Amino acid sequence: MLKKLFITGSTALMLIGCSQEPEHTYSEPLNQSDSVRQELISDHRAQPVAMLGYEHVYVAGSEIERKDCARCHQPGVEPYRDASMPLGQDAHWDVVIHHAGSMDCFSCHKQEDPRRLVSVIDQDATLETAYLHCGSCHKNELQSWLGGAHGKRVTGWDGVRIIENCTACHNPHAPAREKVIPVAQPTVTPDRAKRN
Amino acid sequence: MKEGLEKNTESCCADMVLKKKGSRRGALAALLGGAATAAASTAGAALATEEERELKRIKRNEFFQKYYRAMTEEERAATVARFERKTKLETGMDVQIDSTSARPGVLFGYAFNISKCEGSRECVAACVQENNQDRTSNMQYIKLFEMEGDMGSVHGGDSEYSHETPVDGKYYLGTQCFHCENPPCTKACPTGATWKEADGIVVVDYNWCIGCRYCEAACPYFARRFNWKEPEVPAEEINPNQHYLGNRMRTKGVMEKCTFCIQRTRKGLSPACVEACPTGARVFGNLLDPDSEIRWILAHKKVFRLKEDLGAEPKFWYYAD
Ligand code: HEC
Ligand code: HEC
Ligand code: HEC
Ligand code: HEC
Repeated sequence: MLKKLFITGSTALMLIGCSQEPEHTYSEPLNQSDSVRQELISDHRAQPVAMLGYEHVYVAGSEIERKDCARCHQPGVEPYRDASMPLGQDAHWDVVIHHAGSMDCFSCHKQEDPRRLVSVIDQDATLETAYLHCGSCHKNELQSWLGGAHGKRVTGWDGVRIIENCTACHNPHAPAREKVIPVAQPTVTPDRAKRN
Repeated sequence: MKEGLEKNTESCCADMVLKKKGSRRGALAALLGGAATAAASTAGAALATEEERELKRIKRNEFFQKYYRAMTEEERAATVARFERKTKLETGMDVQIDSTSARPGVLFGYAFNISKCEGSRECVAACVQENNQDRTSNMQYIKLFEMEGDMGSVHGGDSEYSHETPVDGKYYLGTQCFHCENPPCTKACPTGATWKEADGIVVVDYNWCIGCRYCEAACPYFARRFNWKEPEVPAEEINPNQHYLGNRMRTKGVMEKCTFCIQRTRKGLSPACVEACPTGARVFGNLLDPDSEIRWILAHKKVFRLKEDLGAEPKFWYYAD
């Protein structure tokens, strides 16, 4: 006979099992070998979350790693800036900022090296650890993301937890998500849910 | 065939058989036994190829098959092998039918973020693909309702929208089988063909279902689907990774429903809908694991369930943030 009590923010939920069934007890169902775990981590080019207490959570790598900023931006060397152009719009004309009104490149990218990002959580935030940067302004989303309520886990429910970085779903320059055209025709036959 | 007849040699008449408790299939076997034998022998030797005869034999065995829950491990293995062979003979497809049972220490739960879902219906498409649903009747387990404000229930929502989403001021709420801890559907079933497994998944033994649709009527969440016709899936679209209690091929006249993708989740994967969701609005996990994402959501978000007052205790929570 199972009696388990979950206290939630607003709901106290009782799950009462059927008497014929074996007792539910939590016994670490993790059913993943170390080699499978390592394979998943390398497949997703994942890194442990760089925050105290979350080292067991991994963040999947992003495509950005392949863009070679160092080709033109050497740390400490100012790039050539055409004074008649708005900041960053000469070389990176495709970067359009629609994010909270009044941000410029240096609100986020560090002047001495654009691969490094401004963050109050961790001075060493980079493009790969963008969550440290986003999370310094969006604290609630960061908490939800770490807990699992915001963002997405890319691995199955069991075993190593690898999650998407903020930048996998939000373009940092214009983070609002675009509209989509739904796939899959809905079932056309009227069902009872509809008729009621 | 032989086994089927032998089982009933003690019973001399239909009446007696029917009085015997819990032997519904046995009773049918006895009643139809004679006819089936006759049919089998006339269809016979001259015309049928070896494979056709094999298929007939398999179908006959299937007809007299035992209740899944009453089978021993060996019987399950033999049944599964028979189904794999049947699919091969019928469609030419090599499928793997799994019979993995529930893992101790696991109770599945689901959470749905209504402030994140964009109504793209990627989940619906992935579900149909994964679970081999009938394409011709466009059967779908998941419904997404376009909602506005507090509608009290999903009945006011539009589940047949076909415009760009998300529409400003609206939100999207998905329903499917909620795998209730106290499921009304399984109680309504006269043959015990549907039940709740130890990990909380409500399943159907398609071979034991008589298609009376009582469960469909009993489900307060409209989660069950009936096969009014023989389900059809193009051979190249069949998902060969199947579970006996999940996405194996169904037949006309049986009930089916979401199984939390039992063929995936029993192996540690997430359901197809969770994997397909582009927004992360769908969260799946083990309710007994205090470190799971689902437990974090239950502890930190305001959650609600549909028709909570009915006491079915669905293991499917909605939240917003
Ligand atoms: C092809 C050379 C090139 C590459 C590669 C390049 N940049 Fe730049 N970037 C420039 C130049 C030139 C400027 C200055 C002109 C301007 O303001 O547009 C600049 C300006 C910027 C600025 C505006 C601030 C400043 O210092 O002027 C940012 C931020 C920036 N780059 C980020 C990046 C990042 C991040 C990457 C790697 C993903 C990258 N860039 C890759 C050439 C490049
Ligand atoms: C809100 C913070 C923010 C602002 C403002 C911002 N960036 Fe970025 N930028 C980022 C982050 C975070 C990434 C990493 C994206 C990723 O990992 O996919 C990035 C990536 C880039 C890249 C490489 C990816 C790409 O889209 O090509 C370039 C180039 C870049 N930024 C240039 C700029 C320039 C130029 C400006 C100013 C006009 C600017 N950024 C303003 C946060 C910002
Ligand atoms: C310097 C602080 C700051 C940083 C860093 C920052 N944001 Fe924002 N962001 C804001 C503000 C301010 C808003 C506007 C909030 C509002 O309108 O209520 C915003 C809005 C948003 C929105 C909502 C957009 C909309 O229109 O719906 C998203 C999504 C978002 N940010 C994501 C991100 C991501 C992802 C990052 C990291 C790449 C990030 N932000 C980094 C300050 C920041
Ligand atoms: C799996 C995709 C995904 C990931 C990963 C993700 N988000 Fe979001 N986020 C969304 C969606 C979907 C929305 C809702 C649509 C919108 O409001 O534009 C959203 C909304 C937001 C908003 C707007 C406020 C709100 O709640 O509606 C902010 C701010 C935000 N996200 C920040 C973040 C930050 C910071 C991270 C990383 C720590 C992150 N997101 C990671 C998908 C994601």
